[in-house]
Amino acid sequence: MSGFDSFSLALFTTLAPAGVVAFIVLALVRLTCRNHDEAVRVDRIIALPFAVTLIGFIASATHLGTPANALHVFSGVGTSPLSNEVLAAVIFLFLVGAYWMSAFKVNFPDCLARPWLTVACAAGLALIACTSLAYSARTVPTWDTPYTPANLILAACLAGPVLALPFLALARVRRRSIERALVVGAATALVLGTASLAMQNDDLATIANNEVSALSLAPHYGLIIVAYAVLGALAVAAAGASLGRALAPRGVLALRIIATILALSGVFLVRTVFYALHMTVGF
Amino acid sequence: MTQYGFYFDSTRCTGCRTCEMACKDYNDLPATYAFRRVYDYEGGDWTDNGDGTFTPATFAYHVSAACNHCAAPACVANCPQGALDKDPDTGLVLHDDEKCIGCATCVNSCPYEVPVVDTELMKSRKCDGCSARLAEDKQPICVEACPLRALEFGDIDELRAAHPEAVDGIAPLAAPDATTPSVAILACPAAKEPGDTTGTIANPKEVANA
Repeated sequence: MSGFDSFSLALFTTLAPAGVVAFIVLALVRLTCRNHDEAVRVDRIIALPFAVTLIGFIASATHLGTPANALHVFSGVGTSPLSNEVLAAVIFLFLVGAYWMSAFKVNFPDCLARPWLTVACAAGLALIACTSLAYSARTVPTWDTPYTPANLILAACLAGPVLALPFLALARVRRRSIERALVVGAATALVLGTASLAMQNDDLATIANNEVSALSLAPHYGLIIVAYAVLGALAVAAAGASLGRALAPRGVLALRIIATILALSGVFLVRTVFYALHMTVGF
Repeated sequence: MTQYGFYFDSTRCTGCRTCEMACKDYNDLPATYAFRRVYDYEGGDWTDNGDGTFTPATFAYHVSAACNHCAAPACVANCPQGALDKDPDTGLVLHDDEKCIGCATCVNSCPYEVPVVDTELMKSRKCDGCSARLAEDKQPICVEACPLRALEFGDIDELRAAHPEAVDGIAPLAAPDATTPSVAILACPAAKEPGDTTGTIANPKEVANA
């Protein structure tokens, strides 16, 4: 696998799951909104997590040699885990994009918005599940482990809530209880995610084929896991600091953007290692 | 369904690469990759007898390998495009250029590193068991080219019946339980089991597809 391919796929698996989780957070805030103006502002801001997921999706397509044939991808739905992932991404992006545009209608009815957002949240969860399972190829022993879905889902639960925070600030919807829950959720996901990565690193010593040991594919994995933990901890700290009551709105937004960049950088680092770990049971 | 496959006699192979070159010529392949490759698997050591003499326990042998047209092919299972499929009549794993997007999923999942993404076509390519020649009642080009008659091709059940001592994998090839390869290999005395770690592929640059 070439360096550029793994770069674009690491970008996709960093951005798309985080964008989905951030969307789900906004959707839940929107579903519990009693104030019409707030609801409209959340509807507009849904463009941002949509864009993050879409940028990831487009990045993933850049590693294709002949994207012109891409529509055949649906012929593998049900058999190829990659086809399932692409179908889930298309459904999610369609539902969210169409929702965002429809919500520009004056007096967009709540009775339509609520089921639409609920279905889109379900599609988002399906996308994360399919992305986490997209690499379950039996012949690739370093990918076909429980750590692959666990690491991807826990990374999404770290970066997603952090990413939702600047969006909530931009929408000027400030609910302390929700924001606190997001920071606590991200911190929990960071602890669990770091533990899962460390356990995976320990397990690499047991994976080898004729020619290579999995350990030799990622000799600096331990260091990168430490970087993930540090970047994640700084992100959670910055996100937590942005909850301070004394801060001006601009300070809140700045802290949350910094937190987002830190969290996404940490996730991107471990995603890069994931692709470097590719090997087969052969040679 | 008839399942076609190759028989390879490693007691005869001298590692001359004629099979590989005939295949590259017939398929007009570039210098950077091959559909059939010859692995040199070598290893071992020697012991000092203390009297100025040494007892060698070294080994070296060749494995000529193309697509094994597996019964449970990982490339077919993982291709998101349905661009790889088993031919219903021959069991050969065939590639459909019209569906391939060059995503390299087949390359990443095949434990024999058989498919390769051609950097000019931007699509993956692989051995098709010389399907066009089979249609004319001819043998695959590698089989006909081998000067040692170390390769045979046909119904894999018949080949296994004709060569009852043959196995379905030797090092450095992957263990057969991963994909159930349609291959029968007569192991030479030096041959090691799949998963062996006492030797290495001595010509890694030569067999690397790019």
